[in-house]
Amino acid sequence: MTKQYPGELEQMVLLAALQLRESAYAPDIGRELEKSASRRVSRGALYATLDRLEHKGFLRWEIEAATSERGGHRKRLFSVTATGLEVLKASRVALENLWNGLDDVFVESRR
Amino acid sequence: MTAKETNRTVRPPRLAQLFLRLSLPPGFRREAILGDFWEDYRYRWQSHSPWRARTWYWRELLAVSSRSWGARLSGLVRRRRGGSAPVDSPGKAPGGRPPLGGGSKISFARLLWKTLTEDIPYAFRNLLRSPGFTAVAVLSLALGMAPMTAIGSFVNAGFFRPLPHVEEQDRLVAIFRGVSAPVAWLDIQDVRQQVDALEDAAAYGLGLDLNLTTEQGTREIIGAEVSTNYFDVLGTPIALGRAFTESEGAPEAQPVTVIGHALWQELYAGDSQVLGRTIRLNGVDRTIIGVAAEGVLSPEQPIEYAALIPITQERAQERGWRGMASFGRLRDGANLEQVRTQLDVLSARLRQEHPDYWIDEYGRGDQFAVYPISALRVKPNYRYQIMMMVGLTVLLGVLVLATACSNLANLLLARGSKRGTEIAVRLAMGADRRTLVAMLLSESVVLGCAGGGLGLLVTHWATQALAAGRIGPDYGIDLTVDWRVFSFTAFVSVFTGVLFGLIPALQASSPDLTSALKGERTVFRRTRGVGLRNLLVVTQVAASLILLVSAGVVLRGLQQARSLDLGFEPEGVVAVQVDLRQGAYSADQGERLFADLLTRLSAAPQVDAAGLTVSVPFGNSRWMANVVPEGIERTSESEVLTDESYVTPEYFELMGMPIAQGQTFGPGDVEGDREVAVINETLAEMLWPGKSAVGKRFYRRDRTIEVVGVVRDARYGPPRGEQIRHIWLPFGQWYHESMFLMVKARGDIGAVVPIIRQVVSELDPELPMLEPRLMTTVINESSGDARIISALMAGAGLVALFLAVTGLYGVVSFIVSQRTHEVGVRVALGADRGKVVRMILLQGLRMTAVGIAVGLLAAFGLAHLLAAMIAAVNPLDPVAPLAGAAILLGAALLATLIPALRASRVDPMVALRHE
Repeated sequence: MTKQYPGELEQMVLLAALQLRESAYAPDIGRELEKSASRRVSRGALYATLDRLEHKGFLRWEIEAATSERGGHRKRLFSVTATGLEVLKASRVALENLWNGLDDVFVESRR
Repeated sequence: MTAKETNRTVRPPRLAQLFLRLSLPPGFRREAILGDFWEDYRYRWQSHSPWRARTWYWRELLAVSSRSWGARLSGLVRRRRGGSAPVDSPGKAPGGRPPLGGGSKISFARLLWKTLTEDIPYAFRNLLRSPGFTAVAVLSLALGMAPMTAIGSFVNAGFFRPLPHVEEQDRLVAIFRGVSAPVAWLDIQDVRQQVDALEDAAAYGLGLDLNLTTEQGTREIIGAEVSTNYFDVLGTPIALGRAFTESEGAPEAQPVTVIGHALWQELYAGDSQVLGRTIRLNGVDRTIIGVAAEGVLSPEQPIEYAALIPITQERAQERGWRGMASFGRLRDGANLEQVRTQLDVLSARLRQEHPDYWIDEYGRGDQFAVYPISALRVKPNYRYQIMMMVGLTVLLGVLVLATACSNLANLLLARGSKRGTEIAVRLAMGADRRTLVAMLLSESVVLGCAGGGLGLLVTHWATQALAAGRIGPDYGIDLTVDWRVFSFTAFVSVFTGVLFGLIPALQASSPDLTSALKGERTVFRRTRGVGLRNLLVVTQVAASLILLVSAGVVLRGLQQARSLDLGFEPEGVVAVQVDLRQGAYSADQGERLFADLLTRLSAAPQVDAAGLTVSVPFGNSRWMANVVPEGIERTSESEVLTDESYVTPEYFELMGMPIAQGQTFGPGDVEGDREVAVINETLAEMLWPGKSAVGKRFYRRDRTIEVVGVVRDARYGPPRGEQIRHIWLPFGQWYHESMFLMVKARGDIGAVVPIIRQVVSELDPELPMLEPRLMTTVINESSGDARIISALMAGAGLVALFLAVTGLYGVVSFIVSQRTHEVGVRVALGADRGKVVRMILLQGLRMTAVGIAVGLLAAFGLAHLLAAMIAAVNPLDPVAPLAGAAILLGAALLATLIPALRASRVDPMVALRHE
């Protein structure tokens, strides 16, 4: 059976959410992507990805209380599920396997 | 937004928030996303700029909402087809067209259902597939729609938006005297006691602004003097503290005030400890007893009051002092008719009890009038003028919209002919024509709504900028888009969509099947639909010409009015109103103060002369009186209505108004027993035709006055289509508490203003004084309305011109593309290229010429209408129509020349290869 891996943006979003640990809110995830991966993601794409990850069961969220800075609207705190961690690990393993033994190629090309 | 937006109150634009809310399905997710946006907006507002924050919000909002709408619509379509709603990939809308042919006639209900679930989503996808066309269409529609929505929001703010914080507004009525004259507070006291169809009635003073003195100095604020029951009758809440009590309306009561919400924020930063503090208004320290709720407005204008004070003045106890507007609240179950009947009874009683005030000098009795509360905003006797004004602006809007619609119809026609094959296939497979029309119309309605939405956004921003700039940040007219404006725009959008879509849809749905299916092109045959296109271009050209010419006519009128001889010299004269009405000045003290002012000012080296007048030429107010020559019986027919003014003797020389006969009044006249006046030539000729007026006498009410001098005619205001009659009476024999101080500068006019301020504040530091204004400014501003009209028209005209030119270009290009084949044949057969260019040019210019002819005729009619509204306009002025026609012709020539040249370069080999 073929294994399914999350897409590139999906992986980045999951990793960003993990990096943020206890403060994985949507705007912060967006900023983290911009900071660490130099990737500007429009809000439309970001929410769509978050929805998709949630649908696939890699991500879940809970509601937090509102603050006045947000006009009294409540917050969603995202966290990566066990399944999410598993697929990330699997994809890392797959990538590492694929990278294995290629060091000489890159050394070659650098020269 | 506005400058009052401080850190504390930073919030995303309301309209954008609403839009975002509507685009998302309800639930926690929506709330969280709204909050995320809010937070980021604030972050950007603080760290970048408000503008960046706003553009960011809109851009990201569009990114989120377009996905969301796409997902919802395609979900709708899939569900109907038995598929599952997409959740995993909301961004990707599936293809899927409405079934090609399908059955013969279908019921109307099914057609509607099909339109909503299939045609509209299909239209969305189809339009997104040709983004260039869609962008052009939506933009030109938005341009065309923006004036309409702007008019909508102004009319809404002025007339329809209910007053905020008013309880059961339909129970409020406006009470006037005569048709719409103000009333005396004592009359309203009688109304309160004797009209039991009314629960209660309140009154407020007209035209009394308040002077606020703070450590920074004295300035004018918008306030009102109100009866103590004002808040109760309106049914408006107090945000903090309490409203007035009945006893606070007594003349000897402690002075108190209720301040407005905005002033509370500004002066006290919203401090809740403000109650009991004092604020200096019109030179009196008043205790603040309450703060009105935010946005409590006058029932008359959509403007927030900065402060309200109770009527305590002694003259409010005089029946003759009629400076109040009044409104009442109907008792439960009572109606306007009952109030009217009871007021008639009361009027009759007042005529008996107080004939001095309720019966005029000709024995005509006065009476109360009652209307729904909206009459306070639109005075019954101005209704006609306001309707004219609104009608005119709506006409402008319609003309611009018409050009935009014609453009769109043209674009759709061209698109329709490109889609000819698709439509022919559908028809060939047995599609019902109604179904096809519905499908095509959906597309135009979707376009219409997109254009309307964008137009609404543009208007929203524009009107906010306008309101903020013109009326100041704190007391702005509330132009926010509410459901009325929204539904108006929605209606106009759908209507527009149907309007511009119907003809192309009908045309496209009846093609010549055989040739369309074969992909044939027409050779040497008139292309189908060209006649229709011509008509549309003619409409555009005509509409834009009407607008341009009208703008030109008004502008020319203004120019000519300015170049007319004024009859006096406004240069170097400064006018400033000195108003003693709110101070504690008796008439004697007032006269002394004014005399001191003049003496001190005249002594200043920077001042050439100083005088007083009760009304300024070209100013806002006009004083009028009835006079009758001595020896003639006074009847309403023999009376002559004339402008009048009270002035000091220096006034004539100061203003450069030359005396034609006799002399002006001297100091002796002012104190003497002999009542004197100066009149102008027009009045002299009217009262004593052919004779010298000097030494003659006339009656004015109960006084007999001798004419000592006649001055040359001058203009005293914007042109009104007749020469104005005028009398001047000496200030001294005639007193008024609010006078204009006129100062003529010796040398630099800028040096005079500080002198005036200094002299005024030396005499009384709290003396209410308005901003000094140059006479030349006063004159320029008097034509403000006409100037705004002409600017609006010129703006609309330019938009229409732009649309018309692009439309013309589009049509001629289309014709050229249709005739490429024909041109190829012609050239192959030896036609020279110049001839080809001429042929195409002529075809384009023929349309333009017809449009210009129609437009000139219509503009001629509109100019007459404008002349009725603005006296300066000369409807027969040839310059504006000629210039307008020339501009259009030039633009049209350019728009046709480019495609014509393209046609001449057609290579016969290429054109004929397809054969």
